[in-house]
Amino acid sequence: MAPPSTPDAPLQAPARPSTRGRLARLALDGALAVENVVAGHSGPSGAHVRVAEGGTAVGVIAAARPDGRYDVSLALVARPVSLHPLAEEVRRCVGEAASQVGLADALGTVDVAFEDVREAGPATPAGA
Amino acid sequence: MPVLRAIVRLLTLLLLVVLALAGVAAIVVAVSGGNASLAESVGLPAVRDAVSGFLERLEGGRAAALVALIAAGAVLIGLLLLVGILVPTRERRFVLSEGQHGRLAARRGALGDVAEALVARPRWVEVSKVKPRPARRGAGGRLALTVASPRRDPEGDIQKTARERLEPLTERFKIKARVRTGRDHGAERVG
Repeated sequence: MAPPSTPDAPLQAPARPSTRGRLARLALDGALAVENVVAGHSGPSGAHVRVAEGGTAVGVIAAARPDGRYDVSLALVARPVSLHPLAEEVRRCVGEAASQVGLADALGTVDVAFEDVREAGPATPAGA
Repeated sequence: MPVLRAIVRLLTLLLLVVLALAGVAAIVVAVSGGNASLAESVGLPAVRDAVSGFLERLEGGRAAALVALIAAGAVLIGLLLLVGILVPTRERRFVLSEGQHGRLAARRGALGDVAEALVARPRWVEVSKVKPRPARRGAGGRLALTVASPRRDPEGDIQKTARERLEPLTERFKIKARVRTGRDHGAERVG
């Protein structure tokens, strides 16, 4: 039997993901959508893990800056390809993903760290 | 360097333990009272008797060489410990670039795997050893590879082709690559 409701109890508003959480999730999803990015990584100290309502996000940290924006740090596992173009593509996709939901102004720097290299499925040749 | 750092940590721990024990001994002597001083309680007079012969020889100038050797050793150990404390730890990651849009970094192993993939494709050479060494400060670092060709290609060709294949790393990032051939360890520095 459900407990009786008390009319004086404060109404609980449904939890809304914060801007920081949304940016972190967007950035990770954007990075994982890039070809030759295999997965997220928990980082050297295991700190790149975020537990949120939508599930655990492994491979991203978003940190607030004094100017109100959020710096995003991604820890990724990639295929053995040339890293610079891959990182640029990751940054571009993260920026696009933020723009699509109107959070481009909230996005600060995007750090990309490749923590591991792994073959997974068909890959673009190295150096391409 | 990691060995020096480990020794410094161990010595620090030992010194703290000794300091704690000395503090406990001082407290015990102070609380227990009695006529014995702290030095007598920990047996320092006996130690003085044991080393008095050596001290007399030292005063007589008969152990100068030994003392000089010990002093030089102590200075050397002190300098090594200072190096272990003051020299910054090498980054575990390669910082490949850093700018207003953010930082691009890669763990040593990941960068080594990429370098191996760049050089070895498509099984042209065998990369037997990859040793990435990030810079202590800032971006870049060094990358040492040992390669061998199963087809007995000339060493110059092997190194030249390996150098060209590493260009995506050496040209875009501040990485100096050093390629060795496995047969005679002739090395060529590039980047």
